[in-house]
Amino acid sequence: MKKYTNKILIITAIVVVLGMVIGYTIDFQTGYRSGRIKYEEMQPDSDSDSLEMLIRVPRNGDIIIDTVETSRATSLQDETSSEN
Amino acid sequence: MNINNIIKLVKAYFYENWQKDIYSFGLVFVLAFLSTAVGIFDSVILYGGMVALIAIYPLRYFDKLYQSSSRIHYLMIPATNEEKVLTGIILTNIYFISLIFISAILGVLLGCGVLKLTTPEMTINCKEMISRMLPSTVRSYMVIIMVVSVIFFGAIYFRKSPAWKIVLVSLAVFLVLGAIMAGTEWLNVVMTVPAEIRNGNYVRVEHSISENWEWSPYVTLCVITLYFYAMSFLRMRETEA
Repeated sequence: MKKYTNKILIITAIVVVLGMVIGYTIDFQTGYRSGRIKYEEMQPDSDSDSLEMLIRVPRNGDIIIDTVETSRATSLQDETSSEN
Repeated sequence: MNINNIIKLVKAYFYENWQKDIYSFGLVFVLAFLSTAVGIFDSVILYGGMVALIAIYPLRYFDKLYQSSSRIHYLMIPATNEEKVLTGIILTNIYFISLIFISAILGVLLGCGVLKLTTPEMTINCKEMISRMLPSTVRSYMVIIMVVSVIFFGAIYFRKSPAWKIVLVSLAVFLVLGAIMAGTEWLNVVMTVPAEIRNGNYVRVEHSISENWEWSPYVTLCVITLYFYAMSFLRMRETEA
């Protein structure tokens, strides 16, 4: 009987390595994976207020700012709307 | 595949190994009891002990394969390799894992009962204790079954000192996969902070991985488990040949 186990293991190892390299490269290049870095604005005046940014930083692409959330802005907006 | 052969293999296993299994269940029971009632051990130690016993189990099950005389005897047992491997899978995944967890739950319940008797002034919730002492997510159990499948394959694949070889090969695989991940990230991601952020009043709070497909860990675990069990069937057939 022919022995297939070692061959299958080697083929699996090659497929996994190539799959990981190609998959991660695509993920990083499209900014899907951990090219996203979260930054938070330091707010010395208040502990609760913060500004958060999610930035995608692919090596061959432009920096993309995903989201900007400001709890202060939201609260100011609420105050303005309530005054009106 | 003949069910009678599988039943005979299970009976033969119990005839030879019932004492060792009782020691294992007893150890987990005592660990769980002491962790709960006396608080000597952390739940991590209990969990670690349980996982270690479960991980050793396939090696114990296939210990006949490691000496040439007993290997020939085991391979000559009138049952096909599929029946032998299937018996191993049933005993490992259903019988042993279930009884290890039942022993742990009984140990925690006994410890909880002792605590209730000795300190009646305290309100103790046994159900909450069980969920605190034991893993409660489906993914945890799937990871255990996946690890067992890898060790199961290693137990059949390596004929001499399989435990060390499984540990060393697993470490090597983790190192290679880690190197690939780190290398690909290094090649593809700018590690420096963009100027507009560096000059501003910002702190980096986390290096987040974006949301993945919800079912991907479960599918991955299932695929790895099935792969190693299929390879175990194949390797056992080769050993028999």
